Amino acid sequence: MSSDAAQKSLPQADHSPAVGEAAVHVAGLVKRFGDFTAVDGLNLTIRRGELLSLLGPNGAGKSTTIRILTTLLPADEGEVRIAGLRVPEDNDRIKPLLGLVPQEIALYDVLTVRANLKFFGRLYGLGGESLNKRVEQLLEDVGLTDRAGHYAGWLSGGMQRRINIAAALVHDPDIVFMDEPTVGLDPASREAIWKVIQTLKARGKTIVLTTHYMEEAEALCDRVAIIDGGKVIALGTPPELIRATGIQTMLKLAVDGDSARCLAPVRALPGVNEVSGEDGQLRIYTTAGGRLLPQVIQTLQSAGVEIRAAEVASPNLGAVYLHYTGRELRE
Amino acid sequence: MRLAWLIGWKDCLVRFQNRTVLMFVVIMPLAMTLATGYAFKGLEAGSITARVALIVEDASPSQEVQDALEGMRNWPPKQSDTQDEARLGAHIDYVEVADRQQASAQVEAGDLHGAIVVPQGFSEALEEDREAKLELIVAANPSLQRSVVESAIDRLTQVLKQGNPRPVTAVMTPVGERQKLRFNSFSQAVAGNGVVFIIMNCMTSGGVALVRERRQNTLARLMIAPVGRGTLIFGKTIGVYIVGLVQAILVFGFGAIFWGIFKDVDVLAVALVTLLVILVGCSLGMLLSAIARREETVEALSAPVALLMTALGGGMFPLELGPAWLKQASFFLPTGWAMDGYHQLLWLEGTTLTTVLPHLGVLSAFAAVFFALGVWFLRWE
Repeated sequence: MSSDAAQKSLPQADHSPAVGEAAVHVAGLVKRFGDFTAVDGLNLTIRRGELLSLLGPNGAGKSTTIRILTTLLPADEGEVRIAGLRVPEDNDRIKPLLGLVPQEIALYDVLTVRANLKFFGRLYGLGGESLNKRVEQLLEDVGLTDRAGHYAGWLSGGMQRRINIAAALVHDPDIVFMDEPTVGLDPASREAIWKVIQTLKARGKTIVLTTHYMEEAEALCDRVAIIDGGKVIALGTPPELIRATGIQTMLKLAVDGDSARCLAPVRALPGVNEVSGEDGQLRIYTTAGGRLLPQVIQTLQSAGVEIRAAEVASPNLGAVYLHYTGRELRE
Repeated sequence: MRLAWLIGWKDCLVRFQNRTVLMFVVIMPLAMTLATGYAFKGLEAGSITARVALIVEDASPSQEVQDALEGMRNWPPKQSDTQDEARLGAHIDYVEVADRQQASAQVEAGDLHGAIVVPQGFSEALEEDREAKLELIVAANPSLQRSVVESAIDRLTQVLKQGNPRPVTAVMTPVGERQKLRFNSFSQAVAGNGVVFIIMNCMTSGGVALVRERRQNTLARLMIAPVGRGTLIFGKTIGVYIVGLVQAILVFGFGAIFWGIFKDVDVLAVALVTLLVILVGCSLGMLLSAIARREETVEALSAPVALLMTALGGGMFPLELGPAWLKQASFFLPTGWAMDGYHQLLWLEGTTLTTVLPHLGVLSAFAAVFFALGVWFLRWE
């Protein structure tokens, strides 16, 4: 499905608070680089304390949007408000509220981990014992207390990523922008970062996360905004997005004997939209989800069909993403 | 201000963590100062080029005088049996000047280093064994070249005396204001190498500082923090300035302790010139960071540019050794003003802060222009 078609078919879930109450409010945002329009009339409102994921292919406008929201890049058109304050007019008041975790490691590799964190803390006016405590707390949070005296450049990629996050949090910002914080990490490091993100969310921080990992978005985020062509083409919680697409759950069963003869009773079950069977494989498409499976099994057993295996293929954000953009996320 | 210091201090820590800094800030400057200091030692003996005019006012010079003058024109020979003659004679250019008035004017202007005048009646006095006086027109202000001219007239009087106690004397007519020279080869080496390495290290440190922030993505962190662009630039400048200051203290301190180059010198004036040289280095670093996209480009550019600027400015060797236009051309460069300022303060007695006020002004102007260009072209992305 094309982006335009998707946008027409899905009314975007409206959870928008009033502009003044929102952590981030973006209206009609446009950014051009020469003839190329990177952000094309983007609208988005993020609640305070919400964890929102921006999904989109490379070049969709995610990073440009984040750079504008974090005051790093001026917009050509549109309105951006952070905590009710206007960008760029109120940048001086906005900056202390923001934390940025860039996609690339942004640390001084010849300074120690502790020196890096202290430096970034001091930029925000922290100092003395409060800064020391904050730095030690962060080191503990990211599990790197024992590496505090090591040069940042000597750490493994996973450890550097954790310090990269800690550096963005040292001044305890209200709104944290994370650009692909777990890209290229091993499962253990990714899990450690997930924990940090979950802790932040539990503390009421607003988090804007870009990620290529569907399971990350599904596991962590309150809402997902799918961005393509510089616009938000779908916005909602993962279940809302799945429901809205009408993508069906597929029940896949391996059966003995002639699968064709059991098509009719299965098709008669409520919630079954389509059934196909050949070579001992039965495929049942339903909007009722996995809960239809017991009924299907019972129906087949009543019909004397022996079931060898059963599998539920639930629609996920990957399917939703494919539905809206017509592309795999990795493209 | 606190944030600027914070950024500057951080830059210093980052810079001095790099061990190549030890090579470029400590080892090389001191080694070069030592080497060039001893190399310039020969200059103290007078091995330099002097432009000298021979003016014959004597209407009927005797054959003896004509022969002596002809001998002077070919003296010292290109190859000499004595090392001293070879050293001296190889650097005298005899030039044609119409009369003593023109010679005086040229000496005062610095175009001529001296004129030897054979006055009217000189031959007659010589033949009659009366006192025969040669005249020497030189700049009142001592210089290396003047010592060469004095050697030349000494030679001429010796030839005319022919080994006899004939009353041939030389009368010196100084032109212009007189100052006493105290040339010390190490003052040239210290000032020259100080300028080279201050400019080079400030260019490298300044150029790399912002380029590296961009490369390692920390510029985004700085930009998102409540740090204004002006504060960021000021902080970066402080970091580079500290590097330059360390460099200056090291080289000039070395010269002061081991070679006494600050003896009877207005140290405050020298310090002010040096502080402005560092500022010029910082501004060049800023300009370089605006132009270069990669650290390799900064490192590839800073050393050749600094060396060339300093060589043309007289930091590698005294420009007095070269043609006059070289010295004049050096004033198009900040290094030329810096070296001229150092020469005035370190070589000439009686010079003070007032002497180098124009130098301080011009160096400030150079720094302001380079800073303005650097900030203008700076890319924050």
